[in-house]
Amino acid sequence: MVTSMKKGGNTKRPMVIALIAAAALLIVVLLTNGSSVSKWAEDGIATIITPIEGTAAKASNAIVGFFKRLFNTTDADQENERLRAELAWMEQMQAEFEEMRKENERLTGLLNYANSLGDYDICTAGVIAKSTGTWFRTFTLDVGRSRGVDIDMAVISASGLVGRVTEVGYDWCKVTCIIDSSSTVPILIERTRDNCMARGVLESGSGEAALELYYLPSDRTNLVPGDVVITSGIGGIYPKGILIGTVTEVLTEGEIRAVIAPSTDFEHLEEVTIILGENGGN
Amino acid sequence: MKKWIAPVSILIAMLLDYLVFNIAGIKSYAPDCLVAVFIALSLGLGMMPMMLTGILLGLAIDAVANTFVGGTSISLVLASAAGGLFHGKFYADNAIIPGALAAGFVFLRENFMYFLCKIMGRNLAGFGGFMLMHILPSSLLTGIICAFAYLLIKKGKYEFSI
Repeated sequence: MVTSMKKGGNTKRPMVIALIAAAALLIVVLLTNGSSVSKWAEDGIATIITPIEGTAAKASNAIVGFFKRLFNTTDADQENERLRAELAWMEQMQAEFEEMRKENERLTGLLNYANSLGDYDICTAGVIAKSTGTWFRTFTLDVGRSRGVDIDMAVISASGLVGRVTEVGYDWCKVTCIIDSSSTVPILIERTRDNCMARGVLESGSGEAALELYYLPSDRTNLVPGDVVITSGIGGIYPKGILIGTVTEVLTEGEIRAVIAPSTDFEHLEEVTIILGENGGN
Repeated sequence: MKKWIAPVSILIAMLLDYLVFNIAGIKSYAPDCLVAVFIALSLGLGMMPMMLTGILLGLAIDAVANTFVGGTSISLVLASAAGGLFHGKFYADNAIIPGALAAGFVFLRENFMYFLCKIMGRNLAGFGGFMLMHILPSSLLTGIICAFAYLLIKKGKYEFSI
């Protein structure tokens, strides 16, 4: 019995396959021949399939999008890199801008101070080197004879007197600071109008140079700490009225002397102004 | 010795001297790194090459920054000569001899400079203060730096002919 059933199943299988194939072919013919029946079938199938297809497409797109975002990040990486580069560039620009702003402030202060001294021809210069060792206080500027600089011209900063030109080349010059131990400046005490001299002195303690006031007449003992010291204009090197510093200590034993704290920060000079001479003069 | 060791050592010493110590404004206690390196190198390379280098480099430094052109040259030539005296001596192949040599050299030079400035009529504070606050510290620091420089330079050698 079992054998007959197997036999019967095997004989019917080719027939079933043939019927399915025939039905499939009929459907194809009906769909492709443009008949009303085919249109009806097409519309019916489309009506049923389209919403399903649409839903499937949406789902498919969502899945593809998800995996694209997950794995295919090339564009985002490039964008990120570009933005990082832009940010770095902006930060660099910001730093440069800040540096220029500070330089502008320094130069404006320098120019304002130079203009406040009177009608002088001036020349702004940058500090390019400082003397080495302990014993001398000189520095080199980036302007020279080509810009009209000459020996013994006064050099100032935005905060006061710096020194005088002692060597000149074509496009460089060396300046000896007023705090150098060889320097002497004729000064005027602003409050008392006493004329005397100030000289650079090299202190042993900190190695920091300072100014020492001397040649003050012995009957003028009303000098007090805080007195402002300016150039007297005597001698012709330094124009009158340039700020030098303030008195910090008065020594009355024997000859009257005083210690002057210079108004210029000699350790952090970047730009200075050279006074070339009176405007219109030689 | 590797060819780049001498110029690189000198360059580092100059950067320390002129950028770190000079611009930082700590001149008083500052060691003379250039002298330290010249002594260390002249112990290894001998007197003549370092003396010639010292003349040229000293002139360049003085021309750019200093008042007396030639002062640094003299200092570097004498330092090279002092170091070169011990070139090839077996007993000098340690950190103590170059260190002591550099410290002694700077000590003598700064004493000389003090009295030279006095003779020139410069306005200086008392000698005792200078000795305690400038000459001794800077001499000792130079000696220490020279000893370290000698050891470091020896590390980078192919042949350090002692």
